[in-house]
Amino acid sequence: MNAFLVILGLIAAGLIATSRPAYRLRRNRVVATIISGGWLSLLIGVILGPAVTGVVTRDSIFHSIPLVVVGLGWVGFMVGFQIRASLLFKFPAAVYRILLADLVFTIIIIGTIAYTALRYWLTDAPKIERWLPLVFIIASSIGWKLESRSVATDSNEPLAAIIRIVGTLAGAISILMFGIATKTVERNPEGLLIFEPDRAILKLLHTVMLALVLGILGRFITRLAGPRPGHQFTAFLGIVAFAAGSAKQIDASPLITAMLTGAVVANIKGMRLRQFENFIIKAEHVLAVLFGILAGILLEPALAPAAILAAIAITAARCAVKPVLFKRVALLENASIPDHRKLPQHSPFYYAAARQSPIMLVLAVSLVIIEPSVFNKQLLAMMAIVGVLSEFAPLFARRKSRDRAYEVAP
Amino acid sequence: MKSAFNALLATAALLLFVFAGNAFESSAHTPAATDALGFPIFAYPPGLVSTAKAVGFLLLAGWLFGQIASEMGFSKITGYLVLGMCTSPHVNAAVFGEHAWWVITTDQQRYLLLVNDLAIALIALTAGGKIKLGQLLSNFRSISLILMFEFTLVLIAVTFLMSVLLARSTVFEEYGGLTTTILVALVIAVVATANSPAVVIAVLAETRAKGPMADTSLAVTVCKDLLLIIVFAITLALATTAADNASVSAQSLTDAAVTVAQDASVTAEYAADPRSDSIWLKLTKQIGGSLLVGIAVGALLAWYLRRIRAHLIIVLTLGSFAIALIAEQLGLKTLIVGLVAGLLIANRYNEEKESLFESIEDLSVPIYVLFFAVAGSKINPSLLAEVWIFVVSLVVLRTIAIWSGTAIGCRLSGFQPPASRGIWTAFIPQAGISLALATIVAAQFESFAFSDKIYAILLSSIAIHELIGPILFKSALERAGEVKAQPEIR
Repeated sequence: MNAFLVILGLIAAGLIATSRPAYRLRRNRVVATIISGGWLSLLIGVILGPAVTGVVTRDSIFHSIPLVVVGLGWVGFMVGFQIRASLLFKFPAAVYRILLADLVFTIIIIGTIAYTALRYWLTDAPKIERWLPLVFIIASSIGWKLESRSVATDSNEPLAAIIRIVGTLAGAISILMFGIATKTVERNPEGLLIFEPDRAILKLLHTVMLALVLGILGRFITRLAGPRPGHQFTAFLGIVAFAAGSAKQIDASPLITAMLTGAVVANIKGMRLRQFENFIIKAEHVLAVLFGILAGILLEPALAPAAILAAIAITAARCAVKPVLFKRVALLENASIPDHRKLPQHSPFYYAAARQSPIMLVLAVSLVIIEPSVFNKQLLAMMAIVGVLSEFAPLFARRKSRDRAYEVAP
Repeated sequence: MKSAFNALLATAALLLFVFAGNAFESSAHTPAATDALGFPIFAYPPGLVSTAKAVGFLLLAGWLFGQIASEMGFSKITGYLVLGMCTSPHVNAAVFGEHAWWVITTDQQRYLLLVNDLAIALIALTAGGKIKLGQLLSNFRSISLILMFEFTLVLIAVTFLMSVLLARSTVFEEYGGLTTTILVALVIAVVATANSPAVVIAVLAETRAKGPMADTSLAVTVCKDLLLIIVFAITLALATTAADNASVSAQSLTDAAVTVAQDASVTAEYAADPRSDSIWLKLTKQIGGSLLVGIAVGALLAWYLRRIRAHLIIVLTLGSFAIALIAEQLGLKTLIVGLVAGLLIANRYNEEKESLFESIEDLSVPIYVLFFAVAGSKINPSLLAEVWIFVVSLVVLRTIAIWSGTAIGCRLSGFQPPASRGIWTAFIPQAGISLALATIVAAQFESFAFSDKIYAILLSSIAIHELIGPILFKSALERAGEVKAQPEIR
């Protein structure tokens, strides 16, 4: 059976599953956890892929790379579109403190775990081969999942908002970090990976200039198109495809170029942003399902012991440190705000910080399509394990925490 | 004019980034490259990696060229086609040399053609949605008479002209003389009868035209496309007879006719067994199967619209892809499947149709831009120089045949002016299906010396019809008073 038909059918099923009529199903937290993180799609991808049934081959995915690149561009644009200067200044200081603490923790602790694992995993490879995987693991580990419904429906608003804001900003930092790293190395005609600082700077300049030009072009086209949705959609799709495709052509991550373009578009005054927002929102679910399935198909489950140990260690570090760090830094805020706005001492939301951001799936697909190698597919599998394990860890801790939260609440 | 200048400036800026990207394109993924574990890295086929960028460029620049064309009074489709033509690999080869790196490469073109499937499915859905069965039945007489006379006259005139012109060429002597010449002329004539529902629908969508001319031209165009399948079958029967009698290369000619008969959705099994006794049965299965699948798709879409109603644009994109893929898998006609689905929704599920066709309208703009820009990129202007006498004769005679055939049909059926005066212009445009047919014909005649010539004649005439067709049709609609004063602002 045609691989595309299978994927189309699954995306359609995903659309129905995430539609309003299926809303009731998601009220159950376990079902919500499974659906919302893209992990169900990932599992379906694994079953369809060469690891289990082989219904869909990896080659068929690589041959449909233009579609995947446009999808990545769409996600990048979506993330960049949320970065608006006017909003950044309005966020409370706690957001930035939490983000900084998370960033430092991820780079130092998870970076150390990743570096050690890569040393044992890639014993024979040149050191430079560890660079991009290391950045990928760190970038994938920054921040957490934005979704909060599966943690608690009786959501404490300020904490839920902080989860979402920090998660969004962390996603942008992940894409930026990974995107810059992809520009620093490239393979020479002999197939060896080399650092090319001059070309890296030029590539970065190319990306920034492209984002600026496409942003300005976007403004020009949207003004010319008027309020007609079809024409606006053409402009949007064209910008996303051109930005992401240009990045892929130079073996860089399509995410960063599209994200910067999205940020430029979002910050240009006089843009008709509502239509663009509509397109982004409409595609959110389908992209989540698509990248979950793609990641499942692409991952290579035959992992080295170092990789499995690294996955467990990263998960343990996430679950042990991130919630505590989040809570401590968030509660620092309480000293300077009035009583009625103080953050609670106990809340299941603190445990939400342990969950890995689904942006990892997108970064991993991006890594694999930049260089479709066995090693990159194994890295994807390793980080998928972290994602799945960290997703379910808060479920066990949540009940106790919630009970304590009710005891404290007036 | 200022915005036209700005549009050109914007296209130039995009071009700069196209070239910058080309300059940066790394040498990665050479077959020798291995990953950190020593496994070989998958090497992408040439052109695949940069196709997404080409899609982005064609969407943005094509749309801008459409605006420029519109400002100059032409149809936007002409703008999309011109952009495609300007950026095609043929222009690259002519201006910069064979190996220079231009906007669209031949390798990319192969992947860009994938949009055709999506476009044809979407066009078919739209066409089906625009046909009201009640109206179709009440206008049956005019539709069938216009169709019959226009189709027959073009077929006869072009076969005659091409037979005369090709008979003067000595290349056919070694392939069976007059019989082969007439058969080849007939194949060219069949391609000449084809027109483009895509262009008609796109012009109607662009101008938001409403009236007897718009309705009838669409109905005739769509019905004619269906009729083509039957005519190809007749061509096939003729080819089989000729192949039995002629001594040289009969099999290849028969294969060609079989392949052409199946349009772009040719199935390998069908082509492999051209003289099979069950060919009519297979044809019936193809049409019957398409009808059944179309009904199923229509019912499924209607159910989705009634029960779920979410993510309509995405569902439509996926649905169109699914229609194209299912049709390809089962050897069915994408056009019929989509048409029946659209027709069913428009005529059976009244409540659901509004939201569906509104979403189709939104989605159709990028699809049309891409579809026509890619079609334009296949045009090779340099071919025209070699076969201009054939092409000019073909274009002139085809136009006269279309005009007179349509006029006779209109008169006999009592189709009234002003609509009857300009309706013939709807049958001038040729695009995707004609191009696909021409490509199949060329591929099947590949081993013959006259192959290049036939391909050049077909492509060049299609290119001319592709360019002048939308302009003529749009202006005829305006003259008939069927175009709204503010056509595009909602």
